Amino acid sequence: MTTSIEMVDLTKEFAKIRAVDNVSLDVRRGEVFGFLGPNAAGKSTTVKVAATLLVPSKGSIVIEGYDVLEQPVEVRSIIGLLPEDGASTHYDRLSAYKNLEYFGRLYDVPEETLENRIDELLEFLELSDRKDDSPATYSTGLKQKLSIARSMIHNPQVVFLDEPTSSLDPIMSKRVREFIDTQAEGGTQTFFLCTHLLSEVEALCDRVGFISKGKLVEVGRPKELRRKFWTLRTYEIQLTDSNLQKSGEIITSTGLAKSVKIEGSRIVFELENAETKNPQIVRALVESGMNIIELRERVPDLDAVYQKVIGGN
Amino acid sequence: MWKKAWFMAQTEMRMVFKSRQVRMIPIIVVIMSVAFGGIMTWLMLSSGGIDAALFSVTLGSIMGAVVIMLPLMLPILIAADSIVGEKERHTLVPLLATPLTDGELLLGKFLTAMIPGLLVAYGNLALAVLVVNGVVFFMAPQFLWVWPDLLSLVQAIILPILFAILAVGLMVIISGRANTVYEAYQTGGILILPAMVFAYSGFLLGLGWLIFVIGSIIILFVDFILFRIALRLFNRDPLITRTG
Repeated sequence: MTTSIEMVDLTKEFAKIRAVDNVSLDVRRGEVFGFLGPNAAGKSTTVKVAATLLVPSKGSIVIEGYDVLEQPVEVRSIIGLLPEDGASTHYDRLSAYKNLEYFGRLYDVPEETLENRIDELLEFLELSDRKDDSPATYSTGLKQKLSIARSMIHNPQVVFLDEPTSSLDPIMSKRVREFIDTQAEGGTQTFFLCTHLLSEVEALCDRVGFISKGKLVEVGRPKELRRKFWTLRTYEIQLTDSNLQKSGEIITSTGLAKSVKIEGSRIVFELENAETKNPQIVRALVESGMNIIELRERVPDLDAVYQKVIGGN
Repeated sequence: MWKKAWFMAQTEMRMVFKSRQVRMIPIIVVIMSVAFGGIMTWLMLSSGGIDAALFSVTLGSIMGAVVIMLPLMLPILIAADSIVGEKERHTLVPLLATPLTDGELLLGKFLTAMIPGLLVAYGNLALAVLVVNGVVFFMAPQFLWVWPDLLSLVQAIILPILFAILAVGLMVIISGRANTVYEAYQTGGILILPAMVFAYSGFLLGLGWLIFVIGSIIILFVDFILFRIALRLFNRDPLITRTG
């Protein structure tokens, strides 16, 4: 896959504070990349450097072949940016439509296609009936949707979205996620998503990077990261009869599980090399006359990975 | 470069004129100039026995200051609203994220502040000329035409441009440090107006074309230096860093 964003030893310092510290990262074209970290971890600063708004103190970023230091105008013309607090960044003295038209022209969207593009975005984001109103009259959710439309007005190759669903209600967040998902389906647009909402990353991202105190601490697919941080896998089993105690003893007697416990109507056990050991446990239970209804893995969510990587738990 | 800067300026001009504060200034300028010109002319003619040449020079000096200085309030306020206002209203980041170059951005801001200022200056000049000469026509028709003479007219056309560039250049520099429109406008007023009065005092001496030409060249040179400084300061990293 072609590299879309390439960061090498990226560092940004403000006076004595090192906000971004030697970050090296490749994001592939067409990927939805989640950039996770707590507040003040360096997520937004990284995005601002990538968007040519801040000059790196050291290192480089190349976006779709353009160097942010050497070719800032070219970089800005192919990227879309939803800044932090994007909802409050509109011109209240212009209507929503005029806001999009203004930015469309600044981004050199051809006049013959601009009107259609604006209508398409407003339609998709369900803003058409309010297009002639000032953003000042919008709710935070509507303003955020308008910001997203603005960041996509020129159909950018790379889109940086800084906390796209922060301050949105669940329904609005879902709609925005659907929008990003639909846009990403084409596979030609790269999305760089800064967030601390792990559910958003789970739902959207192909890969994630964890940043803490300016340093990139982990990068990988959510599934890979779970595997990496959980060598012991947890399973739960549900049986038709209520003889949980006996079933637990059978599992323990196989000597395959690291731990066995009863939680409500289920038996929960942890083990390594589940692929080879699970069939043996199932066989032992069946041979003892137990009827299994369900056996399933308890997959740790990204929140747990986040706690381990960032929180050191 | 001009195309985008001009488009940006057109949109921004429409926006700044939605500010009541900005809309009030042309009205205040016109009322003050016309009233001042009419009353001064009437008072001078009422005192009687005035010499035509002295009348013309005195009136020209006073009205020259009024028609050149007063309209400068507008570019100063618009520059503050257009540059610091972007920071105050959080609209700066999306604008800086567009492919506009620093030069296009700065030129757009200059045009936004200067064009309305110059239109008001010239409109105000025309009205003041009509009022002053109208009063003269009714009170002392023997004087025919007292103001402006050719030098005053050229001054009233050229100097607003030179002073507006100077004012907006200074405002760009001030705006980098100011956090509110009010703060920028106040600082701008304090710094710019005395400088204008000082600069203009050379033209009030009535030393004629040579002083005007030399003075204009000096102001033009200062304008050029200020524009260069503004261009150096008006770039993304410091603007974003100071905005936070």
